[in-house]
Amino acid sequence: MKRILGFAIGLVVALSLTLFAGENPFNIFMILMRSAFGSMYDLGLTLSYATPMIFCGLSVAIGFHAGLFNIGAEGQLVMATATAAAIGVFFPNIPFPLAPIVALLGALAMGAFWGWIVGWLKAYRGSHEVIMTIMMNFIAAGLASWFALKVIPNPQSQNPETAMVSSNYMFKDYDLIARLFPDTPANASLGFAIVLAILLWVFLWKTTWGFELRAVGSNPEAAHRAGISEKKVQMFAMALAGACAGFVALSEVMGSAGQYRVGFSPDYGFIGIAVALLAANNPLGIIVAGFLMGALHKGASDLDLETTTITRDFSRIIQALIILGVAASGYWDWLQKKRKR
Amino acid sequence: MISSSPAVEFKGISKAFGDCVANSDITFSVQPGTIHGIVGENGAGKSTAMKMLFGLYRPSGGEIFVHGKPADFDSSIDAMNAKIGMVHQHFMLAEPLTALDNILLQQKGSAFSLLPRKEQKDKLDEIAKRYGFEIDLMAKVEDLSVGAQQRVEILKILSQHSEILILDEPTAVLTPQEVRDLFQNLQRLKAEGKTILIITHKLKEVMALTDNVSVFRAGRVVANRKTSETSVADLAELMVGRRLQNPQERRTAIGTTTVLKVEELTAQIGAHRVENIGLEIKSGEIVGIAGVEGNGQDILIRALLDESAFHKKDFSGKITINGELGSFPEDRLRFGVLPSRPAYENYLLGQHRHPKFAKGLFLKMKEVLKATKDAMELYDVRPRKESLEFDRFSGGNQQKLVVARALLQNPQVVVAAQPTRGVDIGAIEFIHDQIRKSRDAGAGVLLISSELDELMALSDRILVLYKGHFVAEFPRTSFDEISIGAAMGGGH
Repeated sequence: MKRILGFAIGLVVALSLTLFAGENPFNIFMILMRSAFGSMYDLGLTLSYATPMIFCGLSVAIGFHAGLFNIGAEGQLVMATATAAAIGVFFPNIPFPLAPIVALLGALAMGAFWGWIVGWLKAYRGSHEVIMTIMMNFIAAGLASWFALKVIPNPQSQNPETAMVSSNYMFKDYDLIARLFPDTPANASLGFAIVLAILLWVFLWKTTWGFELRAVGSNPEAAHRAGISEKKVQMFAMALAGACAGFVALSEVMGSAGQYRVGFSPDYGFIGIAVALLAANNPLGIIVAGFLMGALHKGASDLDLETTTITRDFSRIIQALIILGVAASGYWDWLQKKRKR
Repeated sequence: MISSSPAVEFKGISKAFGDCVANSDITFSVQPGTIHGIVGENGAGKSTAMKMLFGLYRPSGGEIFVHGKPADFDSSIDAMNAKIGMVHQHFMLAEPLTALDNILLQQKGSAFSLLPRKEQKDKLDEIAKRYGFEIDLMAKVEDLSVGAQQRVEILKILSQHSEILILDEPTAVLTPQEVRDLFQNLQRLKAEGKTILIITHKLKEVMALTDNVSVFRAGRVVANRKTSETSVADLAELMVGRRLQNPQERRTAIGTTTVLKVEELTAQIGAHRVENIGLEIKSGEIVGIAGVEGNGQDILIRALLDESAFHKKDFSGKITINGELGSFPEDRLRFGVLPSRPAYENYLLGQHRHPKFAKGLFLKMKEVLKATKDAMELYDVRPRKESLEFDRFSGGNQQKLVVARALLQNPQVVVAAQPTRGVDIGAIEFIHDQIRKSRDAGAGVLLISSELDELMALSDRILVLYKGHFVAEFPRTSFDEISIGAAMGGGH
């Protein structure tokens, strides 16, 4: 409840800022709403943003539950997306139902690997995961760009992007969500995101592995004494987090674009941090938080067109203030606890 | 300052944190130049009251007077300006700095801090000498023994010319000899006219040291007594609110099978080590390990519970354990539990792969909740809320839960490290009973404790660990505080 209040306060404060630009905050709010939910087309775009945000929110949340701050979802999703595109380009003849599955598995494996490296470095070399994931983001961005520009560039385009995967890899024809929102990138991966969130919820709260993961996140020394290998758990958690981010390949490559485009992600991996924070790392909450963030992202995109003074970058300001609002509600709890001591 | 008004006076002080009332209607006074004991169980509100005197909390009601003047402290700085000093139970020292620097830290900006270093040192040495708190001022705090660190803390206060000293559980970490020295020095301070308030739960010490005593129970002062007119038994009854039973001597015999055997164990982590030690515990036997903290107990515990903590080259010897091992760690919050998680998850921790609680990959949450509930019932853990976060329970209830987790599995070997640290008297009695029960059921118990009373109450024999070696062994028939204490200090 406090979180929703924090969200609302952040939004109100952010909108009030538009007063300084000579705008009517209520008017801005209406533009946001209309742009996010105004038509099936708008809603479709909102959902297409929300989907990767949910995947990344889950990725960050899994890290947090294991006591790890995964800032590397961005790098993990970039590597995974490029991998899916590469599989599609290199193996054009795999038949339909198998092809997207193979590409997805490849993407997940790559995302997991990218996360696991950090987990391994943390467990056996004591490197701090925050530094490592940030570095891995840069490496991923460089590698994937090189791949898109030099290895499998798109011959039909001047844009920095890979060649198109063959149509066997796309599940558009069977995609109910895509049919519901024609002409938008919204696709069935939204369903996968929701199912994944539910599965992770079950995993975290109902299974022994999930318990071990949370135990390590809560107190690694006690977990160790209880016979849990905190090193293995850290590596596993980072790999799982990487795989969650890797799912973005499903919505991007197989679901909509059919290729890896450099810079396709408006920092989904970082927005994932906000999503996880907003949802207090609860996988089910992340579905809602991802949707809200997606709406915000889409909503702000029309500000450029409909106002003269406010640009779409405003969505970043709103995001930041919402995070402050939500974080402040946590701070409030903390203060009260402290006063009780 | 000599005046007719009391040095410290609490008048109807109360303190509430939200709905939780920590102190209500606290009234007592301390005459200048006396030593005043503040006794009570954990959670009785002793520390809260003292923290209000030291300016860390503000009273919700009532008034505190210091030398007759109302003390309206916003922070501990105000309290220090009113010449009140406090030695916290957990020392507030910067370990990599020298003792001198630590003392100067608190002197920032004072006239004293502007003196040349040499003069500062001489002055402090003089103070130290006068009161018997000599230490090597140039030594790093981390290299000092716990007793010496405590002397640094006390010097810190004395260097500020404090007239009223508050000591929070000062003897918890000291050997009997160090306690004796400390008490002598405190008597010297008293002779100089200083007023001392000492929080403790060790009643023998209250009897030996104090002039007056205030007994706290459940947030209230239930009695103010002259020490000379009371007794340990009286005080204990006042603290707990009921008579304590005298522990019974064992009725069962020690078994013949060896359940735990340690042979030629040499292990080390950092400066802490044990060297070539051996021990053997039979079923139904309690073996106590006595020693000042830092003499190798932590290494012995680790060797038994977590061999992988050692580098291969730092570990040799053989440990044989026959049967299931149950343990409670020396520092429950650090090694034993998930403090921010609910009680039932903590009860599950370590047993989460047992078929009782897990089927394949899935946890049987119903069984977990039920087992936790039963354990809380059996061990009288309060409040009976399986879903309450662990760190919201009081120390005694936390420990009961940890002990229940270990002992309810009927282990054949029990490693009990500091089983009653930070636990109130009622819970101590209960936990001791449970350990005895476990012993009577045939478990071999290794008891590691810094409380001699506890070791002597429970053990069948006591081994003394000093600098990583077993330097002495005492069978139950020849337990004697002074000689065990001497062995703990390295003498025989």
